[in-house]
Amino acid sequence: MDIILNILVCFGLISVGLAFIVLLPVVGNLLVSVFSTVYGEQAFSRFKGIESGSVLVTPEAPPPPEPKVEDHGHQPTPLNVYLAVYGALLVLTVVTVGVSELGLIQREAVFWAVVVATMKGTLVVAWFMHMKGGPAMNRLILGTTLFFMLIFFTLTMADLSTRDTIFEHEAHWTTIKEAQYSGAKPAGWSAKGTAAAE
Amino acid sequence: MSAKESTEERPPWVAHFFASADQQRSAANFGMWLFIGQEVLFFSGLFMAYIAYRWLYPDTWLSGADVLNKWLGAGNTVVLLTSSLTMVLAVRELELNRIKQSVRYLWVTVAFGFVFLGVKAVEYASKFELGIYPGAHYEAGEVEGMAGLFFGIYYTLTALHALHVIIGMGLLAWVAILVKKEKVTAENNSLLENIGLYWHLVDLVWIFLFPMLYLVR
Repeated sequence: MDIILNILVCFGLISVGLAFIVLLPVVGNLLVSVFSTVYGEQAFSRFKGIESGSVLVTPEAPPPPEPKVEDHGHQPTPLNVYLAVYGALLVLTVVTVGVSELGLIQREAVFWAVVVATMKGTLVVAWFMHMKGGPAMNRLILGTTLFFMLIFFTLTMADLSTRDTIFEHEAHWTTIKEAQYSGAKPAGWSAKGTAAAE
Repeated sequence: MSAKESTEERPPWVAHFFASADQQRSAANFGMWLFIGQEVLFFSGLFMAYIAYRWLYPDTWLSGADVLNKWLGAGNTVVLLTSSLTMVLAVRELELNRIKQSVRYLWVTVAFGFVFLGVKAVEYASKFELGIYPGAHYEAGEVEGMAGLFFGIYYTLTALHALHVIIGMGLLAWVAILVKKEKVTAENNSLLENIGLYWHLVDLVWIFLFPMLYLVR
């Protein structure tokens, strides 16, 4: 059982590492493209103005292009969408309470509770908080937050769940060392290793 | 000439360091999402405490959750979900320039906040009757194991969440007055939208707290 858990934890760590390596360029590109669309042209035109020596305003200069901001919230979401999301949230609340009444074993109960809560959270974030159709930067912020939360949870649980094994090993070696110092031979101990070292 | 014209065109509520109203709006939205990310990380520390101690003392969690009334928790979930709906409707009504309806929805949202806190107070009172006080004042003997630990985490999580509800209700009342006075309008609704985001965050935290504390046993 412990071995399976350790393997799972290792897989978790490896996938976090891989995700980090894979995500970094993607995230970096996204960051650059978002920044350049929102602030690029404006900042660029300002720098050009300073370089040419004419401070701030050149008479013939065309007006600076309007910074492109992703349009959000101008067209109100239809009422039906909000009501549908609300209905789905209520149904999922009933589902999660219903699942808890089934008397599942703890592991399954935790699994389904987390799955349903994540679905509800996604609904709230996507439609009520307008993550859907909103600026890409918001997705980046929440994604980064959740990613670091995952690292936090994984590393802490990797420590907690493997501590017993480490203590067991330490106890094992202490017994052997104590036996060695007192000159006795503990069960299952061959003196081959120590003899070679001496 | 062009510079002067543009300053005349821009609405008075756009701060001088923003190029346009749209830029101010997107900056406000960006800042609010950074704050939300920070809030999620802040709560993740408490969730981590919950997960770690649940891992170390699984039996305590099973017996501890039995004391909580899951129907009150479920009722509070419905209350908060409904308040989230009235919140988005308040934002939507203002976008459609229906000020009166928007203000009405905002006060309804505040009222749901009061209902939530009322149910919470009933729950706390029933725990106190059993001698389940927070932290070192824990006196109940009915629950086995390290029950004080479970209820310590229960009180910390729910009380911090309730604090967020109270702050959110204050902000909602404030923005309701501003909408009524037409300081916050259909064009200049960043404040209302951001307070709405905050309220949804409060809802979001509860969506995860409810099954973790009340249901999983």
